[in-house]
Amino acid sequence: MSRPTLAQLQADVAAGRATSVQLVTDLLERIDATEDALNAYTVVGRDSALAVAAELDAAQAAGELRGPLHGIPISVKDLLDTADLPTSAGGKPRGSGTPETDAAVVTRLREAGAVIVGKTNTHEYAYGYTTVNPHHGDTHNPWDVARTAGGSSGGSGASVAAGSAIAAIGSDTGGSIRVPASFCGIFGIKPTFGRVSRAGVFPLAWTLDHVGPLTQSAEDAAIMLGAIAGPDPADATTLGLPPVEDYRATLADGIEGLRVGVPSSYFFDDIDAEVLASVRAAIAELEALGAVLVPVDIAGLDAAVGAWLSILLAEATVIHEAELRFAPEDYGADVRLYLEAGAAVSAAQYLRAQRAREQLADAFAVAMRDVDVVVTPATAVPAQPLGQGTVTIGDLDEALFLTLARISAPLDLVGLPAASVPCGLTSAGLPIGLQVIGHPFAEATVLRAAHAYEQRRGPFALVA
Amino acid sequence: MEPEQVAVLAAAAGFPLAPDRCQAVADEWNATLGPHFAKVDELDLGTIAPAVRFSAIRPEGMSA
Repeated sequence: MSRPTLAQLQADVAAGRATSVQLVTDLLERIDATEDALNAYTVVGRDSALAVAAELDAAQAAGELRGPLHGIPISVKDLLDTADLPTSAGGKPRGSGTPETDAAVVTRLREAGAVIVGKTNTHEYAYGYTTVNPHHGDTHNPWDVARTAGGSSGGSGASVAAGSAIAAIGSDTGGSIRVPASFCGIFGIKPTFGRVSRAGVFPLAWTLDHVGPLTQSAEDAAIMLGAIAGPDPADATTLGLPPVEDYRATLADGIEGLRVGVPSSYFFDDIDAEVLASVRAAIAELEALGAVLVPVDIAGLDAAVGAWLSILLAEATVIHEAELRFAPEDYGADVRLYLEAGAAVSAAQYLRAQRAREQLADAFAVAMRDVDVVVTPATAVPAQPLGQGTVTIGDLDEALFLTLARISAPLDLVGLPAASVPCGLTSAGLPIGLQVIGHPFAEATVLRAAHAYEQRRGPFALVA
Repeated sequence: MEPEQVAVLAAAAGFPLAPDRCQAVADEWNATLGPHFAKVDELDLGTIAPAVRFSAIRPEGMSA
């Protein structure tokens, strides 16, 4: 089966072959057909989406195209404020829950002409990899509804994979865009730290949080990222940075001569055998496209998860300190435990982790001096059964969150752009992701490499 | 990490925890978190200072 991409719909709307009301109506029907099985949304704004779509169709009839997303329905993680829909951050709903203003990213999407159609489910407060949620229900993987869609942006991943979203926004503090992208067989990119504003996004950990798109393709992500990236006075981490590139302009330039770093250890250790074989095959395809493979060695990675955990736990606990003191029973068991554990992280431990982070960022910079991108598996395992907390890989029994964190979290720690692109299926029919890592603010190169691979791979299988 | 240590650290941070919660945190710390924290403790960090504001961009001429 095939499903139109955002890029195709953009062209259809611009050429008058489709209206926004048609797109929104079709999408609402798809949501109705899939939500019982997936639970990808916490709220769908039917009336508001149709009203905005009608307004955009009228604008187009009058000769006005608002921007690159004119008339396209977009879904956003229920961590981002929206003035017309409630925001729960995946937590226990409080009051009306509808903020007064949009998150900066939502504002930019609307300015680009997007129709915000609904809010996608997340692990409670984005604090977990499975989107098992005691307040809003669990999100299921469309490839196998008995399995997790990943998380924390699990609703975004599941909806894009199932066609109940054209494209979606997620957030990534330890892999929360790339893990669901990998598990659900779609594209997802965590931009460089500071590239996209977090203003109006409920924080998990201030110095680790990133916002980015989950889409059907690298081209769709280029369109989305172009719409949401850039400086925002409301998020100081976005200021004083290199200018935003035209991510679509160089997408089709190919990767002849691109130097692709392949880590000699760590990222390829303790990986599921089918995942490893598929990723190795994808890397061979990059070489066949003209890329030059270069072994790279990144020092200090063994301490990355420890540093990430110290920072994550401490920052998350401070963010939740008022509620944790007075209403700890409002949290699910897993999130409550980690919030309480954060209270035991000392100032010395936190600062040591921040120093280790600087050292690791330096090590990445040194290791990547002679390469344009680095490629690794996006996740060490495919989607796991819902409720399963541990995995076995060879002789290794490991907590699932550590299995996922050790591959994805180092990139949140060092802030580099990193994408997951589908590169195969396991024998059980579960998607596998290839991670493409770039230099700071070199999202265009990451997207170009991913796009070249997608063109060689061909259309990825879709779930019905 | 002993539950008593958790109690002291959490209380110092302003989060007095009940004994059963201290035990739960200590169990998780010892089973999954602690071994990773220990790897950070083993690093030789030299004179590296924590950034006041983290940036992904590395300074020119960096040679670490």
